[in-house]
Amino acid sequence: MTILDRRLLIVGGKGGTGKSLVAAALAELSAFRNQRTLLISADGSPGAAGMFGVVPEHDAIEVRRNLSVIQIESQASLSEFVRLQLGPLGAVAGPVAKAFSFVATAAPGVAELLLVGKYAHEARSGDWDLVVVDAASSGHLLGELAAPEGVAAIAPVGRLARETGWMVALLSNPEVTAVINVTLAEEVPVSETIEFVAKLHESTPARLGAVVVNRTRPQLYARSLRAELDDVLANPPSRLSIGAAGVLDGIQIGLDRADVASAIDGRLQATLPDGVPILHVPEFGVVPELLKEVREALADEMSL
Amino acid sequence: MIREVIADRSLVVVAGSGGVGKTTVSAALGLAASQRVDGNVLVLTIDPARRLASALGIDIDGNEAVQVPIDGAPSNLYAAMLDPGPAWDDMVRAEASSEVAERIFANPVYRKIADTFVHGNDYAALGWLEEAINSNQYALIIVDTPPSQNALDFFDAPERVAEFFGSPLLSWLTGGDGTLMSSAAAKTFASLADRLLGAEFFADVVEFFQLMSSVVPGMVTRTSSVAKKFASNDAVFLGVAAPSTDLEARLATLADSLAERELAFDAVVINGVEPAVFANARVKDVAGRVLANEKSPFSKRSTELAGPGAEYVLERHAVAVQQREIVDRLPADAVATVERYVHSPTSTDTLLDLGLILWGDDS
Repeated sequence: MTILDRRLLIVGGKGGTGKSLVAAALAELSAFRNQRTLLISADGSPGAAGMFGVVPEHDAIEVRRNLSVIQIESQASLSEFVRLQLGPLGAVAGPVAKAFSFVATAAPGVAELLLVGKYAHEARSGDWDLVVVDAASSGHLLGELAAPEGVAAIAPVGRLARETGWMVALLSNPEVTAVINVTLAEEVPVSETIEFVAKLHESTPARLGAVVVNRTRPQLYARSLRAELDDVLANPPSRLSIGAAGVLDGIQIGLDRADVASAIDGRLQATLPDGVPILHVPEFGVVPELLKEVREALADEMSL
Repeated sequence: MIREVIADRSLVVVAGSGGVGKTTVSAALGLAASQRVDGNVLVLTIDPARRLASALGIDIDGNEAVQVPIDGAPSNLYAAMLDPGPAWDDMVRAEASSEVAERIFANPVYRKIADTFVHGNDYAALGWLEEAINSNQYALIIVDTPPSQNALDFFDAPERVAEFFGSPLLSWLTGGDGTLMSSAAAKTFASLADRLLGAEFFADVVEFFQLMSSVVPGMVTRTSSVAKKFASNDAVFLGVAAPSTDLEARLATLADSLAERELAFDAVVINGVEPAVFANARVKDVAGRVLANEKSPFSKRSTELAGPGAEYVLERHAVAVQQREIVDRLPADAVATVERYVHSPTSTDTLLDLGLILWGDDS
């Protein structure tokens, strides 16, 4: 079983980690497996859903066989929710509708609830085998995932609150929903991932399904050769040309980077809950990476 | 080189999208400035991840600026991390009678204010900065702005808050005198809100807007004056970006938003460029020979051993060259590059080294 066997994958991570590319790559891999897949951008920009040559909208657009994309925001989700809930009464227009959305989005948790509600709704609709969400960055995502329980607690009587029960049930079922955190093999991003996971499990019903470490550097050398190489680097031949000395310096940098990456990896491994895989995407050329590169690396890591 | 740009100006605004090292650059510059500027230097960060504090080896609790010890001795560098909740409370206290303030604090909607409003955090930061600037304690203030696609979102915060609370919808909703209007439209609205949100929740929201309406104008006036000061020639705009293929497009977006206010970037820091050794053509040449095992400068065994490493050097050479091409296409007058580091600079020593490079001071 891989994470692609879930029904809802919520992909988060801090800015600059390649979160959207990872979300788009996971959605493509799912579509390649003949799963009907919906890729949702919920981060206020076209993000992952914008990587397939169309401008994503609130309604699904099929961009590949088995792959559709949408971009959601709380305003449109609110109108949709009101229409669905209230039928003819919900079809209000003009100042009433405007004032309502104004109040609803100012009310704590409602905007977040509407976003979560939208992607959870798609996941249980039966229209898709897998829904992949390019979600908000870490802090906002925690707010979104905590919103169903939060709104139910502070506003227990409205229809919105009545909708929260099934959302919590869907989010809290680890066979159905998984949160994917995208990070880099560097000290600060990994520290933030560790903090994020602790808060996720403490303050939301959702559970971590995997961590993707992007731009990682595999070891250049087997452990057995390393001591011999270290010796060469520590005692270089005398009178080296600039080019030759530079090669040794460059190799040293490569070794140091790989050491840092594996130390950070070890730290991550030690703190993640049991059974949560770490998927590595190596460093390619200049960022941003190509979708194809990320997709193939993830496929390898998941043995697809 | 940033030394020349800053000259005698008193504010530095560090802007850029997420994950490019704004906080690191801000902290590094703060350290360098504290060694080179007469008077106190303040670095304010609006980063919720508390990275600034750990990098500077200090414990920041609440919204007070904390003096940063350098080499164990007190210094003229101060750091502060914005906690938006208390910053909003301070602004409310300054503008409202204690009775109104208590009612506002007790309103459940208010407790979420920083998250609820677009740019709520930015706004709180401006309120905090107003006090810092007016205290006249600092010769230089460096502001690490929150990640944003638009460099000026931060400075538009007062306008947006004013717009939000001054919306005609709101007076329509609250009927001016604090009661819901009794028009048929308003009744429809109340019924809608009741069904979806529940009457109590809805009442809290309306009360919140009513209470805030007396407080907001004063808050907007105060924060607008700071925003104007920042969006003026008193401030230096420093863009931070990664050497990515979309660098030009990203900088163009930032520059456009500045240009709308007749401002421009004073300097750009490109953070994370591959070290010069990888860009060197002679290094590339030798790495190629080592990999092919032809005319290698090393012994037979060393050449064999160095193979995978040489391959890595060639890979990074391609990246280093491409990054330099991207950077070279930028208008060159004020571009500083920072080489990618192996270990993140997480101590005052390493940050100071980085800061002095940026400062452009080789003394």
